Amino acid sequence: MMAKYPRSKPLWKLYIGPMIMALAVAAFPMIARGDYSYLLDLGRLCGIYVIIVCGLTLLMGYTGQISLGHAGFYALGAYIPAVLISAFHWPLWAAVIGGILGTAVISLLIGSSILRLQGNHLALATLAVGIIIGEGVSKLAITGGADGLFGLPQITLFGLLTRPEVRVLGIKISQGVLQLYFIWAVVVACIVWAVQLIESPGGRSLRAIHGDEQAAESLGINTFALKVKVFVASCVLAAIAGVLFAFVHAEGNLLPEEFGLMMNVQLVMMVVIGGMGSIWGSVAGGVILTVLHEVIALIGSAAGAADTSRIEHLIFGVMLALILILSPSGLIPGLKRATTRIIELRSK
Amino acid sequence: MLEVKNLTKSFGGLRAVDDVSFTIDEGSLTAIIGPNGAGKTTLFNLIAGALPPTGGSVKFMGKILPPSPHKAAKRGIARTFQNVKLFHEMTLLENVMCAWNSGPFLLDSILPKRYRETERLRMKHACYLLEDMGLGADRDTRAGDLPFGKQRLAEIARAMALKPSVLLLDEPAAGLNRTEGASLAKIIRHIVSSGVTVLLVEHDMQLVMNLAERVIVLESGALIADGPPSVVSRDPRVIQAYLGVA
Repeated sequence: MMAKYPRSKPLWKLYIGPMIMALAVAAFPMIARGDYSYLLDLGRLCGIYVIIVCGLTLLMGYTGQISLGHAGFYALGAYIPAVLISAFHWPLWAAVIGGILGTAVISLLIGSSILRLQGNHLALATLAVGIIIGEGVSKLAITGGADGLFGLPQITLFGLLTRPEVRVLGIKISQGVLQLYFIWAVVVACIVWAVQLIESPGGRSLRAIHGDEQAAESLGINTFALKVKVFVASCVLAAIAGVLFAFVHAEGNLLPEEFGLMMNVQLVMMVVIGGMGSIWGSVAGGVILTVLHEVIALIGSAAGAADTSRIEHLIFGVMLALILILSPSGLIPGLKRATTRIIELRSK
Repeated sequence: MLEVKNLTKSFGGLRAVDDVSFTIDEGSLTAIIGPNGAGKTTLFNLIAGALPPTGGSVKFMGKILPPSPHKAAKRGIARTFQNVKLFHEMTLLENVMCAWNSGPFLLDSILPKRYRETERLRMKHACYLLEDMGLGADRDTRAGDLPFGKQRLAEIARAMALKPSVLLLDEPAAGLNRTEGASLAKIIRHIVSSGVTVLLVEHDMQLVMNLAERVIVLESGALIADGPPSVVSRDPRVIQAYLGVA
């Protein structure tokens, strides 16, 4: 019998996904055999991108506001603390906090000036922001220009991440694995936050803005203020990813190549491939594209090609086109629909 | 309660609303009629804050309304749209619940326990609102999957979730069949009897004449008649505006 009134989803169900993800990452080094330092490297990078894409999904998938410039805020998260350390000799933790707050303030200023734009205009404005920041960090003297910044301190978590290995309950955990755990702990925290946001009344308002802005306004939702808030939140996530990239993954050696024009496009592709409007899709999108990038580079180098970036653009482009034609809502929702259809056909 | 004074709105050279003044009493049901392009929807948008006026003012409870729809909504002015604007990807229940959005955005997302109890009550209340419109069985259907008539009613349910003092209905009967129109009339009467002031723009003259206590007629942006339906329908200027006879 159907209950008279629907019940809201039990809270614990929200945490199943993040928990499975945490367990999968925790188990990874125990299952992997042989020399897997390369895989660890890849896993760390995946985590960093998943954080950005998670924020971008809130902005694009849930609120319906496109941003083609998030690589810029990713760069700010890496470079603001780096510059604070190298040029102003701030201590690491203060510089990291300064970097995240600085990105928040900058994204607030940018967001409140461009988020009144809609559709293509907004896309172009954000793309301009991304290019300005990306070009800025690769040209300015204070950021080291094209040579980048070297010898920055690393996040050590009170010395934990600098040890070659740590023993916990008789299990040896190497430095690379610890770094992986640290990054993915941040990923899980960000995803838990994003999932909670979507379930909250505020998350409903975001979807309302996506559905129809005029109607959302007529229900008392201050759409502009809310759009700015999500924009800033997604930029802060990108900044956190930037911090992790500079001070954990890159081991304190920061190059501007990471934040180029292609990164802007790649981030949006991760959102689209994973499926707009689903946090788990964004996780999948981030992982799939990062892994694919490496696979193409591997095959390329095995075939003797020096630079695989062009062929990579081609493959990514074709992939994006195929997904937009076959399943415009993204890869994960498309697969979900396909499986339900197969099950339906089987049962007939 | 609602005081419209010398309200004017120009788009370029066109005066869509031209020096219109009237006062709406609390708890009344007023219809605004007029031929196509008479400025009815523009007038609605001005009252709902969706457009800034070129001249004149709209006062609500003695205070001037700011030209901002979400502020007007928070002050108690709810509206529906001529071409129904539901959130198509959401269920009806979620649509109605979108009217309840207050709360600290960041704090709620960090501490989900804070809003659980209020959300449970809201959900219940949303069910009641949908049942009032006869949509109880459709509450879990995607809004975009519903037939047009039901979408119209759902939009009214969503507007009522704001607990408005004034409800603006923009052509609520457009696109409805005869039975749906009859149940709509019943629903509007029910809303008025619950103490909500209703202002409606309508083409369906039968509905207007049956329902409204007062009719305001616009033509080319100007107010040409204002009074009870029986008087307005005999006004020669109104007949001329509608039939175009000299």
